[in-house]
Amino acid sequence: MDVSISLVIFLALAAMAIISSLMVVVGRNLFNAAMFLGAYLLVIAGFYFLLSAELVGIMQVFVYVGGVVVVLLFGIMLTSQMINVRLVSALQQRVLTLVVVAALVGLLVSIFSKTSFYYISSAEAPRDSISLIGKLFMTDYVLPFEVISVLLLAALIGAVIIAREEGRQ
Amino acid sequence: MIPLSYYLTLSAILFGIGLIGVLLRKNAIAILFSVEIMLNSANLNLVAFSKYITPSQASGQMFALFVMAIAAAEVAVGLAIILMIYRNMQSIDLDKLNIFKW
Amino acid sequence: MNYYLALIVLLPVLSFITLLIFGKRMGEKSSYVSIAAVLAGFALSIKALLYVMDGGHAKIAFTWLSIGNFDVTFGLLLDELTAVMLVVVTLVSALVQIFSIGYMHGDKRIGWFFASLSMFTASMLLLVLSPNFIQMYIAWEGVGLFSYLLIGFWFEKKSASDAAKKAFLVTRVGDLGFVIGLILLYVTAGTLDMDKVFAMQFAPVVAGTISILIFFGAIGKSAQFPLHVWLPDAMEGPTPVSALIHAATMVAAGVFLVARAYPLFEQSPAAMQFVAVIGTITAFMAATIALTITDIKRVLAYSTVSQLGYMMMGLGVGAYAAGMFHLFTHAFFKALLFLSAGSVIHAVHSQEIFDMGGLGRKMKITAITFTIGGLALAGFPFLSGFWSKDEILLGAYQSGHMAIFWIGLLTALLTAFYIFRVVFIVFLGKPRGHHSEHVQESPAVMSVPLIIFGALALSAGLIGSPLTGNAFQSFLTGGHGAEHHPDYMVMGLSGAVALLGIFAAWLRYGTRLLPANIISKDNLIYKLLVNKYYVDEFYYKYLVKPTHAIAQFAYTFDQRVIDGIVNGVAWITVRFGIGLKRIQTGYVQGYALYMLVGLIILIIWSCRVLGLQ
Repeated sequence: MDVSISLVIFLALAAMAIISSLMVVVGRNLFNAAMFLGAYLLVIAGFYFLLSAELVGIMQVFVYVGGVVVVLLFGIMLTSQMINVRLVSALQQRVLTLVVVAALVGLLVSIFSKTSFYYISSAEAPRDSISLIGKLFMTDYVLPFEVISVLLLAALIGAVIIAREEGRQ
Repeated sequence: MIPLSYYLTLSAILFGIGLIGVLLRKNAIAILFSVEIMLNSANLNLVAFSKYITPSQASGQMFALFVMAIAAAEVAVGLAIILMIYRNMQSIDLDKLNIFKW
Repeated sequence: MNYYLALIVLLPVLSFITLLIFGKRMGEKSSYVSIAAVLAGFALSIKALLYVMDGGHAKIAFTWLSIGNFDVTFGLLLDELTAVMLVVVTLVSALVQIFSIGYMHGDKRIGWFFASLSMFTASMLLLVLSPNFIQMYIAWEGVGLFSYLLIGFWFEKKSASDAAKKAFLVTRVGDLGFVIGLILLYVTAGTLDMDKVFAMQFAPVVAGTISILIFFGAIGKSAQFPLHVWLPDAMEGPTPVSALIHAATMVAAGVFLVARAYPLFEQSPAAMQFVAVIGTITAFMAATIALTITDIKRVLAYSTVSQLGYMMMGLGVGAYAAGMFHLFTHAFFKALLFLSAGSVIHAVHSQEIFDMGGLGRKMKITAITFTIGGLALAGFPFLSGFWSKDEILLGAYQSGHMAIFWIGLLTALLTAFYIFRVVFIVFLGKPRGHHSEHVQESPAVMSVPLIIFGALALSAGLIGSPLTGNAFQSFLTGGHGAEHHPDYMVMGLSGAVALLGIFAAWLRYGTRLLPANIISKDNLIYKLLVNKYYVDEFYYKYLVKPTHAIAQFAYTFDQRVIDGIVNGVAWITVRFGIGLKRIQTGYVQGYALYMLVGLIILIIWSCRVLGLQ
């Protein structure tokens, strides 16, 4: 792919990501915010495709857009706090937070810009990254893989127990 | 190829936006949204590093996948907690959840 | 013999432990344990005395603990001096304890009383049996401690607990000198074992310094001038305790110490002189003070101080055996006087002699025994006090200490006067105060010891008198003491002054021949005497008050400055906490913000460390 085309694509995606995430953060309507979050997550998936990480992109769409956003929408509905809620803090805290976050981001960006990454590899990504990842899951990363499955099980049970209503046992 | 620092800068900006959300939103669910933004920005970072530094090993992608799994678990547990709080306090406004005040 | 010796000390200790455990339950019966122990001790002491009279000596020693080259040995030593002291201590203690059955009847803490008496006796026995100065010092402090407990036995009375404290602190002053002397002795001689120390030859200056320092201990314990002030106050204790303290145990310890360390004193004429002078001053001063006292026990107390002065005088002028002989006779007649006084007090419930009067008809035994004691004390011819006092005066005379001799003689006159002043006021005349009108003789447990002591006061002097060839003295000095010819001039003088003193007292208090106000109360000397030479006032003004001032200053300093600092620190912490708690807003996002600030600082800091900027 030509560099300029991919740069254009990157910048477009970046703009979309920033706009949608800003909408999530400042939006007054929680339902709209959830929608923008879905958009944001899709944009991120686009980045993954751009970075030729197809599996991660696909999982992003499945897990986040298909799972997390839907669950969060359920949460909004269950707490019935969609509209007319106070969403943002007082001005004093807003200013302070903005300053601190700006400082952090500025700091990070300045570090990135000054860092030269010696380890940049020019090697091509393997064409079939999915099978590579599958192999890795079953070989090098088999222990974290199993641990994460236990974690998911624990989270499942834990969420049920926490959210269960005490009276209806 | 697009320079790595573009991705890093973008992810830092997105992270900052998510952070602002976490620090300023009063609604607990909105805060969960913001946390998702931050997590994704970090994931973007990982995948970008994977592409640029170890393209043939895909370790960044592996990490990203694990982060996703953990994020899913976090959303589940987080929402359960929020539900619990809502049931007990009839609100998920963080300003009202200050019983640990001095 | 060794086992018997150990038993003499251990029996009272055993009785102490038994009474400590069972004393409360046994109540009045606890006296039997204590008396049985001390009577057994007395029997064993007689056995020890006979053994020594056969020329036997005994010494046990074992190493108690070793510190480097310094071995602390523990042991028992039996020689002539010890044997005499053993008999005196156990006998007096036994009789006093028997007397106490009657005197202390009905006291709540009677078990503890007898336990303390046992341990008091045990400490004294250990003291006289000590073969080295360390052990002696331990026993010495034991005597001090138990005297403190016994003087303050009725500690509910403030005056009693004050007197106990005073006794303890004043004797402690002397003990300080004693300890310094012992340290000096150890540094010089390298040992504190008596046999070894006495075999050594010191430079006169060294021997003098050590002796005088050791003598300080004796000054405190034997209530010599200027540390005599505690003994009259010690009258706050129960009367049997006073008797024991005055006759055999506590105050005799000081005289015994000087007698024991005599070989050391002899090496320094200056030290001897010092002992003699202190003794003389004490004897005279106490006798003059006793002239004006109206408390029967305090008169006896000052008389003890005076007689102790005599003993020191005797030791100081070189009449070693005479000093000890006086200790021996004094033990009996002073115990007799105290117990008789106790009997009187028991009957009249007062210690003021002007509350008494006319008791002679109602308390015949007590009157007779007290008078015998008085006669012995006054040095009435051929009673025990006469022989021993005469020996001391003779010693002073023969060694050429003429000033001391004359002061001693004058003191003897005063002694006879003040004791018969008490006798005439208490036992003759008309009853004063309602208590003395219907008094009764004390029970047998009290009167029997009085009779025994009376007999001893009459006769004990004979064994040291010229009639028996100064048997006591030659025994004490190991047979080769100077068997001197009696000096009839001195003997006659001392007998005459005794009679003169008694006559003067009779003239003044026994008859109405002299007007009562023959001595003006405004007289300067009278005032001086009534106020006991202002020694207490002097101490109060120049020692107690400055100490109080220092203590007050320290208290204020502690309250203001030390506590101020402590409280200030606490106050600052509290203030800081009150300020700091405001950051605990309860808003989670606020905390998250702080965390973020911390994160930024951490990033900057690690960049610095890694050299990135």
